[in-house]
Amino acid sequence: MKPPPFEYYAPTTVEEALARLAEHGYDAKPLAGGQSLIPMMNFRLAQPSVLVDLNNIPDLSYIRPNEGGGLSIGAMARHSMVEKDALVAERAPLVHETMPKIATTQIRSRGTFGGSLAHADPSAELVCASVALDGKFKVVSQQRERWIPANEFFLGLFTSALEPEELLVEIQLPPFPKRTGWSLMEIARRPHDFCLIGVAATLTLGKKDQCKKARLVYLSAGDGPMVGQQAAKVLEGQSISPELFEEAAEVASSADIDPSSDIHATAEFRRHLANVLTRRALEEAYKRAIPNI
Amino acid sequence: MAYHKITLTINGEPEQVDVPSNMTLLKMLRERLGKTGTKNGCAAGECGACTVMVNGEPVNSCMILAVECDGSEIVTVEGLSDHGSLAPIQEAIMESGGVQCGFCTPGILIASQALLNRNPNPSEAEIREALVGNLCRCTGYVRIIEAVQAAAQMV
Amino acid sequence: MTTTVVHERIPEPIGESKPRLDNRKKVTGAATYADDMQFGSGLLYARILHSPHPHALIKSINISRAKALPGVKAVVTGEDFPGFIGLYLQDRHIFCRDRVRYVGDPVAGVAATSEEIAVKAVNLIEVEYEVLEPVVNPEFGASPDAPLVHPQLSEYKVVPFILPQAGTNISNLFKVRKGDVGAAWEKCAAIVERKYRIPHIQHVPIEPHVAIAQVDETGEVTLWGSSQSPFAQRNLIAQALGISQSDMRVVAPYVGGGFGSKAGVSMEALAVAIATKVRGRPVKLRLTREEEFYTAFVRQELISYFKMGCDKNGKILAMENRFYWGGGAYTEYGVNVTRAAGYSSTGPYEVPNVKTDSYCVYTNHPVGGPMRGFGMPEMHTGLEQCIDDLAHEIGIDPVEIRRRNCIREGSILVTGSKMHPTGLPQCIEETAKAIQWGQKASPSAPNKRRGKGTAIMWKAPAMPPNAGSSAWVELAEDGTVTVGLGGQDLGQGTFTVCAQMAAAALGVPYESVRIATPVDTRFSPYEWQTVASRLTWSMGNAVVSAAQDARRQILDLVSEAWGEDPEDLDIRNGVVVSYKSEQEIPLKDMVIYGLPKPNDSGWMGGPIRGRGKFMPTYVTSLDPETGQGERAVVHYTTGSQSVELEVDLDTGQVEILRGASSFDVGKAINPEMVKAQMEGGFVQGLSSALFEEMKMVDGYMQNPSFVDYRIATTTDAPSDLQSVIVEVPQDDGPWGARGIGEHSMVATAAAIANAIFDAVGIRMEGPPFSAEKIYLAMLDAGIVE
Repeated sequence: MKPPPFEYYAPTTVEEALARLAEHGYDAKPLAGGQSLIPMMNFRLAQPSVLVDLNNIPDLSYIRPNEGGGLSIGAMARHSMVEKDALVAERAPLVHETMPKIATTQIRSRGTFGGSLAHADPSAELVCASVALDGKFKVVSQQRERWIPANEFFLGLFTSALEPEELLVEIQLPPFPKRTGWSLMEIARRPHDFCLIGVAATLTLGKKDQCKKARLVYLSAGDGPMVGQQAAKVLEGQSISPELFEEAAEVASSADIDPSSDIHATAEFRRHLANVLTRRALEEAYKRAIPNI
Repeated sequence: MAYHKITLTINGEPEQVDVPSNMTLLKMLRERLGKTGTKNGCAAGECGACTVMVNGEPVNSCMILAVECDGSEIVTVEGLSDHGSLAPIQEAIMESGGVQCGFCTPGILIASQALLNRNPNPSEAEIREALVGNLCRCTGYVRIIEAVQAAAQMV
Repeated sequence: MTTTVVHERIPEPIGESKPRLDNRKKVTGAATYADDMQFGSGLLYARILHSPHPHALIKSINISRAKALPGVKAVVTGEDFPGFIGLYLQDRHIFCRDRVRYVGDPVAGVAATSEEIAVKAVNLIEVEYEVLEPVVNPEFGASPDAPLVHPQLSEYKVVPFILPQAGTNISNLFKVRKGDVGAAWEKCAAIVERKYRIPHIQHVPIEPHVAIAQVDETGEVTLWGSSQSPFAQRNLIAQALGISQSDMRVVAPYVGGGFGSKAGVSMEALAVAIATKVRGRPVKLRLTREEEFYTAFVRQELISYFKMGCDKNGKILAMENRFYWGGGAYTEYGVNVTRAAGYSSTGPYEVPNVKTDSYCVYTNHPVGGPMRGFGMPEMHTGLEQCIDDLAHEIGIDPVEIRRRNCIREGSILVTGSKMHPTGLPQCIEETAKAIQWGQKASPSAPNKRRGKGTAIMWKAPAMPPNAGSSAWVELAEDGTVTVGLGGQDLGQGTFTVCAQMAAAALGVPYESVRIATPVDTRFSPYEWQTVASRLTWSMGNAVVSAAQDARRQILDLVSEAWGEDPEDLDIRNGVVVSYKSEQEIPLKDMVIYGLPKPNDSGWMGGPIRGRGKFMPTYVTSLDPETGQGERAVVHYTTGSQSVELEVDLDTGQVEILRGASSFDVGKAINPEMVKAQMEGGFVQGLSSALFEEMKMVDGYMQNPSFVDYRIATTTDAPSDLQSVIVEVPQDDGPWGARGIGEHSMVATAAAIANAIFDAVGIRMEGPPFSAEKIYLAMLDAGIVE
């Protein structure tokens, strides 16, 4: 099958792209890497009548350091570019670890950082990693520019805070805190499949090596990235021990997530796996936090 | 429906093609340019049989519109050999016995060549990771992986 | 090891790992597959309207709106094609006529000037259905309470060795009654009884089905398609359309993987049927991957019951097996899977007392067809776990119980025939050695458990007793050789192997041999089908015989010209040589133009063309009540597989660390290609064991895409995969060769199941052995909390 016909525009500036989107409203769809959109169009699950291709806007593809230690990633930076980037490895190790786990080489060649986030798939690694890292998304339209915190950006299944005439143009990641470890773990039927469950974790240690701050964000665990808020409460302020991690895992898997059953796994099994992964991810993050003293 | 005139190079040769907006790169290659070496196995980006290089990067050509490729350099399996002289990866996969039905082979060759271009000496694990998006139902992958290792030695 | 056939000399290049003939075409993109063929601007595109219901009566079909759509050239329905089609049991119409029997059953077809118009037209066809209760479980389907899927079963045309049961859903019943099972149980020191359930899976060639059909003004039909069975398609489609086989031509270019899915006839008949309504124009039907899942052949599902017992030394005394094969909506081909499972139902063991009932049952599931292994993987997956359980029950090592009971030369088989020489005992030793059986390595992490498992197998070519092959061999002006054959290279390498055999039998270099491709029923010699792992043996025999015929013609000519005894002549490396006179003449100087007679008195000879054929002549029928007979099959290929794996106690995930395969192939014509079959089969077996299942709910498939139906990829295949060739010659195989293509995945799933048991002590009802199933089984067994 091929997609139904549509108008195609290839603007070379953000302004031009925004003008097209404003002109066509709900009928238009921005095309980033297309690695979700094109197959959806091939199967006629999406039928936009106007496609605004962002691939010719060089200004959207960059990775830049920010003052104070964070970094900014242009929405059209391709996964393969982020994967290889030394600055990302240094300043956003969780993102660096995440990149090779996304889909396949072919898809990472073409797929973009911003496209993956705008698609708002709750099983997408970057969606959860960006929330775990407290990223901020720069969203622009002809009328306005706004910054949306990652944890407010994802509203539900394939639903984000983006309005039809808006574009996600940049993702800002704050400086990676000191004494912080990270982990991204997934369990899939095969590596690189959509995972049955996954977790992006960061763990910041305080002066006495206690847990100062913890972020656990779960993939494929609900209608959006599921934040382990109650688990974080269990962890924060406590001294690290296997028992603590176990308790956090128990709380996260029973109270923080809302997985559903499908043909690949039951909700109960996903909760069990979330429990296992929480412990493993916290242990890995803890090990990585320690050498940063 | 709007047609778009695009200019691109296919295996080093400049081409100008009028394509409708909804035509994928795969369809253009196979149906407009006679490059039938690139195969259609699923049209959903899941099997890798349609892998080609766009500006040096391996991509599933079923998941890119032809219009997106205006100005791009495309390499298909037909472009791996140079006037009849085969690339090391082609020689190596013949030698290792990594070809059976041959339907996944073009995609495997392109993905492997792209890997060797960015990493001339990949480990076995890196080869497996690089080819994870290329399904093969015949070989069990053993000899394909051997071929990439051998090609790395040949370069 | 026993050898009955002694070959005085193994000529070159038999036993040499020659590169594939089609290598270069395949690595440069030059190999033409059906979808690559060009048909010009007259080409029409076909689309099919499929049944949305698993079981329903068709009340009415309205095609008027579809027909009126500009660009639509034909709309056809079952009304247009009353004929039946089917390989062993003619139970299928090309398009449904009064009833649909699975989700995907073809109801109507459209040909249009573009794919878009064809899709639109299909959506304009209105069908009214009366929905019926579907049969979704073969065991229930075999019961008298089940609704009938084929009420007219008793009227269908069927071959003599298939036994449909009128008034039921049972389209074949194969029975074995051997010895006295009832009396044997009392003598057993251990008895185990088990039930297994093997789900439908699919072949998943990476190339989807494609067929292009054209009917000319005189009614001659040409079909180009991705096909394992050009001649069977010619025969069956011609019969269904009521035309002569000679007016039906099938051309089969390169095939992008088959594994059984492109055997017999499936969607090809649809393309031909539609083409009959648009004379002169080629019609192309190409399945999408989704249609591939919904409408192409699937592997039959199986519910199996085993009961087996042994004495205190582990000697198996009796087996009682019941198989309910879920044959799907049409069992025209699948009925023979049931039969094959029946006559192989003991597995590769000598068992004196056997009772087997193997039922082929209609269900409202997709059509069960032939798939790599032809019932043997499904059957062995249960049987070989059961053998392991019996070993544990009696306290004997699993490899040892196989040593003690496996068939050997002279063993009396389940059908009463005698086993030919076999290397099975050696295969068992080879895989045990490769996997270091008996040595337990420690797991890689505290939360993991390591296990080893082994399983053995046998499989005969499942085919009619008189399935034949033929071949020709021609030489060109330069002395190069072209071999005509009608079997197909699906990737397994049969063209290469046949070229090697022709080279050896004729006495020419391998490099000078070509295969006449594409296979074309108008020009290629007859071949029953590319199935049953029978080509190396059967078509190989025909090729050798054709090459020998050509050789004889050449030597007769030269001996006459030279006035020598043909016995003193030989062909070596493309040159006729006399060992007596030491004269030489290259083939190129005589194979077309002949040789001059002495004294300028004219010429003799002429273009050389060798002919050959092969058909087994010794297979007998079996008693319908007991399954006993003199010789049930042509031969059995046997082998063994072992695996080592780790199970994650926390998650239930399995990692296959190592695999080993060993098969007795009689003679490996091309050893590296034999090993490649063993590797590919192992990984396909692994994939079926760990990932694959067509998830059916009330007759509806839930996972018709590569996202949801997963097959093994690079990261799933173990890097340590050993393959050991055993060679105990087949008395009527070319240089002793017999087949290996399908056998390589027969024992894999069972070996994996046995290794999981070894690691964590759990058994599951059936694959795929997903993390969740394993974890739940460990929970049940109290292995984890």
